[in-house]
Amino acid sequence: MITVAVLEHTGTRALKVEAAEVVSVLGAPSSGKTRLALELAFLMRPEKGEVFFHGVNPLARKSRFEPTQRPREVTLLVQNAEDQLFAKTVFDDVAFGPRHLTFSDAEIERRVVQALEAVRLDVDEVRERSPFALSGGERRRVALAGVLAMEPEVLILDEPTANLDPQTRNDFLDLLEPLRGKSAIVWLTSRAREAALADRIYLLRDGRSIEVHGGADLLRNWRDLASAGVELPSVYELAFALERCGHSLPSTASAGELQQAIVQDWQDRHRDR
Amino acid sequence: MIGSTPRFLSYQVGDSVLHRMDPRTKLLGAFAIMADALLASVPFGMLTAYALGAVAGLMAYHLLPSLLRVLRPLLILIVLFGFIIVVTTPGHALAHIWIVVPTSDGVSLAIRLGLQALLIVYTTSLLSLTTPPLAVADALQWTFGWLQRFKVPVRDIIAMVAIGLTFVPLLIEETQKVIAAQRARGANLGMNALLDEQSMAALLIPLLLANLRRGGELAESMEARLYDTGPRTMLLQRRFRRLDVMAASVLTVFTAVVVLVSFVV
Repeated sequence: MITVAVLEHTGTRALKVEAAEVVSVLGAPSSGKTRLALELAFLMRPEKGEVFFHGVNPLARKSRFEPTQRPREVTLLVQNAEDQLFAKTVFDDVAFGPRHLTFSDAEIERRVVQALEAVRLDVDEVRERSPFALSGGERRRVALAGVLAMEPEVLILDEPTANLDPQTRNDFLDLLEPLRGKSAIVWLTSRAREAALADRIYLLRDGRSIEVHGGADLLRNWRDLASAGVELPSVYELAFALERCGHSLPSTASAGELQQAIVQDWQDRHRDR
Repeated sequence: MIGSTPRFLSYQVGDSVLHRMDPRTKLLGAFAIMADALLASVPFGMLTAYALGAVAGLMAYHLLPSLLRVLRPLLILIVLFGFIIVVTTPGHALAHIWIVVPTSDGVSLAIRLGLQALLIVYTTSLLSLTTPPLAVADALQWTFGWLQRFKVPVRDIIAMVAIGLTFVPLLIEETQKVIAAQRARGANLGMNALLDEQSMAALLIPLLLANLRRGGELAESMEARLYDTGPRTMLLQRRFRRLDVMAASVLTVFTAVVVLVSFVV
């Protein structure tokens, strides 16, 4: 049986997303992640190639770009999405998307409550409050709830943890884990540690996308990742810097081993003196 | 969408004749052409004003395609408002179509206003496409500096204008970003957004907040760098050259002719 990918980009930055899988796109800052996110969400025509949703390009054969034709099953959480909140209450803001799908009030209520629960906000406490009275991290959660309330088939996240402090970032990452399996997720990030959570990983490099080993194997390629400008855990960044100075280090995935090797290397040199 | 064509009021780097002209000449020239358009009688004066505009355009001919793209939405507006003027101006009726009564006075007024609006936007676009915002500010300072003697805060006003001009492209980019973001979560932002209160709020409130925030940050950072604690000096001393003298004389002569023809003859 041939399965048609839920979302497919055929261009220089070709990539494929199967149903309910988590795909991450790893790229240095300003490597064109945001543009790719807009193209995948049918908000912008790709410069090269086409984007297919279930094998169909909804923007094809239209000379004019009509964003109202875009499939509602694909949603995007833009970068710093908390800046896009506007409604008087949190409830209204989260309900903004579902209301455009003209559901009944009961259905909208159900979706909003479910979405707010999914982002672990206290529904009763928060629903009548103004989104502007919340903290930055909470506002980002409300923005995520607004996207989740669309119950998308494909959820695109453009640097969902950018500009958050480490604590809030970890809390936010915890929210994303239970979303696995509910919809296909495309996660664009510049942090290798976040990308490692995905089923499949693409690396953006020189305007092209290359599929790379996922999971625990991802960091085995730390040389490639570092030279593509991706943000790595500091041990790997140090190792990359040391290699450029002529030290040779093992291609290991484990941070502990690499750390050992660096210490060993340093001790050996010290002894020579 | 984002990054498609040169945007309205944004400077394009280049080396055309118009780029090399002194910003003061360009500013006063733009004023002269606009004055011609406003004073001119149809058809002779308007023809002169348009001829001057065309000559100015030819001096930066490689920008004309992008300039026309900037003007295209304006044409739609002009036709729309022209129609309203044609049917609402009282005067000699040309026809009676149901309750719509176009008048000859309306037609001439619509043509006149349309031509004026087109030329004014064309001239300002040409100026801003070929002149960096800071140079425009310098030119404004030079032109209106004398008002400072009458306790008009020219410097502050011009600083505001210059900052405003610099931020127009950013504002447009930001609008596109907000539109994309709201569409991404299901909004139906098209032409119908203008009629829908919710969609308007979804567009305007994030924009307004972002701008207020940026304004505050900008003011603080300017003050932190000691803005307005002493007299301002200029790094660049601008000089008029032969090109400027030529342009200025041509514009003066033609403007004088237009004024004469419109008022005296």
